[in-house]
Amino acid sequence: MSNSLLQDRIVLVAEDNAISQMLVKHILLKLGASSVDIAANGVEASQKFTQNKYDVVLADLQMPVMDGFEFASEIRTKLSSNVPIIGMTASTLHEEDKKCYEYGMNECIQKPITIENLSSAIQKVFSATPGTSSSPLILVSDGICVDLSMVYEISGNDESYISLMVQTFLDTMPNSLASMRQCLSEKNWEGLYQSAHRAKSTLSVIKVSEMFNAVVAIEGYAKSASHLDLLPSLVAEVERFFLVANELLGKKLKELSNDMISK
Amino acid sequence: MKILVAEDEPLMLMAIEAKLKNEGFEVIGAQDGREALKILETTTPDLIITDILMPYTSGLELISIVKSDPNKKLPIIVLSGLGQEDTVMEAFQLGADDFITKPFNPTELSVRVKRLMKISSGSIKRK
Repeated sequence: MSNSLLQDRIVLVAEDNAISQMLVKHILLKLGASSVDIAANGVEASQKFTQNKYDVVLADLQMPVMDGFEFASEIRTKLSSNVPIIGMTASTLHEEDKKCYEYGMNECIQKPITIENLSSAIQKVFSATPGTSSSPLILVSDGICVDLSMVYEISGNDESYISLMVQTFLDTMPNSLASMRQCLSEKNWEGLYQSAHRAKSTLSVIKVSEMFNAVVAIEGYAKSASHLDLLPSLVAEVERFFLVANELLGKKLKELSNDMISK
Repeated sequence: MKILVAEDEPLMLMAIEAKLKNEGFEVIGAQDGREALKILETTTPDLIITDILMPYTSGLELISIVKSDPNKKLPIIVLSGLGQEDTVMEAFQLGADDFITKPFNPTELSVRVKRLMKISSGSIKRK
């Protein structure tokens, strides 16, 4: 899991439960946050928000004194800030999600909070707000987030090896996608399972979580030959996501080669 | 210290190779289990890292062949996207020494590699 997602970011968490406070803080620090401020309710959180500058706000929906909804609407109206806000709820009701957006939040995640659901929500809110991803390791466009942190880490920031890996991704992925498309049209579920599995490997090095999640779903459904009606739209989704990722990585390759020439 | 890596997905193989080389290991890459077996005819690595789902010879077949040779006490780490309990069990029953699921954490991989190498060299010394 990426540990640079929140690099140099300051996060405000509004949460009344002590255990949840610790858990969320722990995950945020693991994701690279430079500092995490905790407030026990909306009023306390508003005070902190006026005193400091935050890059992301997490708000529990149910809190005493002032709940997450009221707090979010206060940020949007009274404090007129467009900081990304992620709601956290223990409720499984779909209504709750809708209410989050109505009150101005950008995302809503369900408890228990895990490194997976939190980082996915953070990636989404960052990619929806243009220009918020300042890290060279995270490329963002059109709701797609390409995470290169693993490639940088394992290569020891060796730019020529990074270029080679990006190029390999761009060479390999179209083959996997073509094979998935072909197996789908032939109703060859075993083949579809294998090509999805292979794509999953590729996507766990250069991480595009939107593609990864769809590919994992395809892998599972093709293996068990279930939910077959969902497969065509999932495959189309992966192809569409790849077009965006392809463009982002193409640009990245050019930047890398310019960097290497100028050095 | 030489490590044989059997992995059919090119980017994954590059990633594993890069991490291990940075840690000072010599790495031999094989694109599937069959190629790994061919390499093993002429080379004796200190450790094998293998994927499971590969064309020609799968990782599980590779483990069972390598572990059936009593003269070679080669430690094997499975690095696979198949994390289900039955696959993990099968790999261990065939003699795998460790199991890591993808997406993998590079630091975890190197820690596990070093730990296994120490264990296996330790057991040689004790004999």
